[in-house]
Amino acid sequence: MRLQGNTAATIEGVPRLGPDVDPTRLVLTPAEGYLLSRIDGATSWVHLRAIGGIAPGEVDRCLERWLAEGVVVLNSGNGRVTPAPPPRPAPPPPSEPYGAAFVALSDDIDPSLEIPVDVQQRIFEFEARLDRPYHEILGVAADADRKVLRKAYFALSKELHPDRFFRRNVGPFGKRLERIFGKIVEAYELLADPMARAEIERSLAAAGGNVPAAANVAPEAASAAAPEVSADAQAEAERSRVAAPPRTRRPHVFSLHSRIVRDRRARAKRLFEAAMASFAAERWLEAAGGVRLAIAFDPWNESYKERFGEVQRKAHEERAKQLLREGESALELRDFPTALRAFGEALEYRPHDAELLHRAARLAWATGGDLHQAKEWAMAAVELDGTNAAHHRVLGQVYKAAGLEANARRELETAVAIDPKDEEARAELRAFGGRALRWLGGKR
Amino acid sequence: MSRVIGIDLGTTNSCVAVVDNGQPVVISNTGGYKTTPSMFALADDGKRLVGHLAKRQAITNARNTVYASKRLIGRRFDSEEVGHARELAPYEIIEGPNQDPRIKLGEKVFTCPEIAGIILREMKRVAQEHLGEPVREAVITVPAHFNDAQRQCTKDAGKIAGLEVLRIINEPTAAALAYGFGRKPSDETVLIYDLGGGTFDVSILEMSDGVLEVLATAGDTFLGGEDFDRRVVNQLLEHFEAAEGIDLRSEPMALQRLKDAAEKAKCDLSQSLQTEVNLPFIASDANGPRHLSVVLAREKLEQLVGDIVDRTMETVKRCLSDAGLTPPQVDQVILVGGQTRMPLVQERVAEFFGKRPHKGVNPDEVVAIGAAIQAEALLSDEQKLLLLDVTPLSLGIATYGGHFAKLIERNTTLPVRRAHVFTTTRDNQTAVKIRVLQGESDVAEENDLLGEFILSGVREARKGEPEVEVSFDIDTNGIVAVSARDLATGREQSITVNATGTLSDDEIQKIIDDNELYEIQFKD
Repeated sequence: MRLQGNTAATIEGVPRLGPDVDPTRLVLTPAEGYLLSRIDGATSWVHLRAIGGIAPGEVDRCLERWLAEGVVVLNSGNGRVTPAPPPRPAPPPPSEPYGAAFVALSDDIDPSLEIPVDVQQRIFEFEARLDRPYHEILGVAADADRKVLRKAYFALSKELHPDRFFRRNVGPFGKRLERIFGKIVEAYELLADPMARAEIERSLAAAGGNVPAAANVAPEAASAAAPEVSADAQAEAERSRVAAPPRTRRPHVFSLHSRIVRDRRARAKRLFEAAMASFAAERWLEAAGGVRLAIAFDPWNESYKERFGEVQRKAHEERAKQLLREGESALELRDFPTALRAFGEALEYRPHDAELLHRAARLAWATGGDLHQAKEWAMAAVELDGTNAAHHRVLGQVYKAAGLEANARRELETAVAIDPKDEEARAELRAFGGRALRWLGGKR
Repeated sequence: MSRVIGIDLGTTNSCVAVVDNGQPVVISNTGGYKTTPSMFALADDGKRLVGHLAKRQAITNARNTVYASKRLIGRRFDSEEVGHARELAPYEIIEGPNQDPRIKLGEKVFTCPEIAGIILREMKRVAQEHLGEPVREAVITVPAHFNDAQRQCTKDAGKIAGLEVLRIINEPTAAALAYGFGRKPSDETVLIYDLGGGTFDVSILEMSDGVLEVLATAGDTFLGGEDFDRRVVNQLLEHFEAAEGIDLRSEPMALQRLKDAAEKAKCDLSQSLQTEVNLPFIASDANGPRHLSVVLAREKLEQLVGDIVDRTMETVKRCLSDAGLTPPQVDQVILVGGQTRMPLVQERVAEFFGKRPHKGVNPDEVVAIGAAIQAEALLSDEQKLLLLDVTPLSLGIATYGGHFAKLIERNTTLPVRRAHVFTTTRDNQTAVKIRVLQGESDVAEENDLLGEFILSGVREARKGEPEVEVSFDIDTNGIVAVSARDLATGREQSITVNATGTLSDDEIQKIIDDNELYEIQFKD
């Protein structure tokens, strides 16, 4: 981010046109004209960056300059400053017909995941824009050449490829990243292919006009958006006329039969209603399955997505409980592999349950399970609750089993220091004796 | 965190590398060699020998010494390639229960993943000895044109060796990673010409600012350095038969000696213009012992293998056309694999591209180095390097009339997921059979069958009404997964595509347990 000064406050703010500013007297590039047309006193800086068509860095640069020049002023994000009426009736932001997804979904941000919160936000915002025209997905101009496309494609890949989060606990973001990356590839490959691009541009031209937002694959959505947009487009054209000819921003229309879309939506609605009934009856797993399916049928309906987070949380809780019960009864039957598997799976839903981590690690260690996994669990337990002697003891035992003696000693000694009465840890330490062991001989 | 190694599991030789303080290094084995023969033998006393030890006794114990088993891995017993191997290999190849080729040494039968696992275990041991700590994870390379079954089997081999395989990557891609490592971030288009012991691959990549994107890849399954050797062996056989009237083709020990001599002569001829093949006492008859002694000129070798080299250039052309490039648009040509040391290969490549191939990577080590770099890139927090690889083969299903419907085209960037809706063809049909294939032919039968499954429990309805969505995933390892769900009920059907030749989890576990008996440990 290029912002200087009190970045956080700035980016939270909502820009609007300054008093007495006559936009027609500014000299702007088409891109700047477009950005200015999006400033309506309601769309925040963050969202302006996310709207697409203009790279976020570019948005920052423009807004900073306009702030300095007094072209725009900033309302603070919490709305305490009474927003002055915008100079013109505010057009809705382009993605409005489908709901401002990034706002609603940001409830799903989960700080416990191994993925920074700002990156999570970025992923949500990106995901919300996946139905936008391809060049907007890549954040390039509609007429960008191959070199520009490739640069954008590589930069986005580096940022959002699933490998970037290899082996991290990213929870539901794994699937999101896969979907996003798939779309980035699709956008790049189609725009980089002259034939496909010509086809895309032809359908854009056929759709005509200055429609800012439309689905890449959903003609129905595009036509639904059209009436609202044309008024907006006029206003926009007026505003940016002085600077340069209007940018061509057209929807991509593909031949997906509208009857199919209608059928899919109807079915999605039925599925969703059934899922809500399940939800009311507290059959969480069933409900989550139903909502997921509804989204698959009708990915344009944001209300399904909004509900999904909540339903899925319930389903996860339920599944974790089920797994714990499975694990407990397997333990009673002394079926340790099954118990271990159940606990391990339960941990996927409850990665921060120190007690469960501890039990799983101990079980894996005691039954000769995967030591690597046992170590991960034991370490996580120690990290979450380092004041518990038992957590250190198990980690020590796992290290010992793996032959990592120095680490084992350290952990076992910590356990004894915390709880001098931990006989098991003491016994383990005594077993080392005074002899200095090495891992199976080590390097010689 | 224990270290992650990169292993080049080659047809003839294997190599292991690790990134040490940010620098990739190739690890030498105890004999001081940077590569280890991919050979395994069962000695008379039941001892298991791997690598140089196996190679050293190969001549005297030819029937119980396995080499080039990578040519068999993941293939069907009735495939052409296995047929070839059965004709030529001194060891016995028999059919396993999954129509997979298995290798019989004495009374014991080994699966191909098991043999590969033993070699991987040896490479792991080499690394552990060097690092002085246990190694549990690895990135392993495979030829770019390996299909799903071959990749699965290689992954299984890793499991058998006690390694968690972080990623399977393509050999030419690994070579490109090694080439690009530490290079200034400039835009470049490179072509990797990888002629190994048993495989030939070409890949074209674009590199820019820490991202490597594979544009296209093409390979030839039936082509490698061993084919060069075979030509030389045949020449020697013919020479000997003409001179002495004895056919050595049915003498396993003589064949093995000829094979070694041919390989050595081939390598010599990369340095000198002529070489001598001397094999005393190669045979004997009523008139006493016979010796083979012949001078081989580079020119003769080039004449023997010229058409093979020409064939590689056909693959290069196909790959360029797939990438939509012409030869001058390639900035660098990188030669990988021992066979590219041959002057003829270098000349043909230089001629075709109008520029000398890049010098400065060791063709034997570069793949392992690339694997180690990829391991490091995956696990490090700094995102310096990202690899965008493609699937080398089209994936699809057999449709009515024996046609092949491609659902994912070759050279599609990974990971990729494509879903398609299928329906029934008869009223009240409750089960659908889906045959998953990989290959380029429009005729279903001419492609590799990855597996087939029956999707049952479809709701009874009129034909064409049920909608079953089948998703095809190819992950970053190039491994295929298929899942299906009935759109009406939302029920997901878990499907296992059992590729022929791959092992079940139970089988793998059994092999692991068996092999534990042979595990060598450091003595305290």
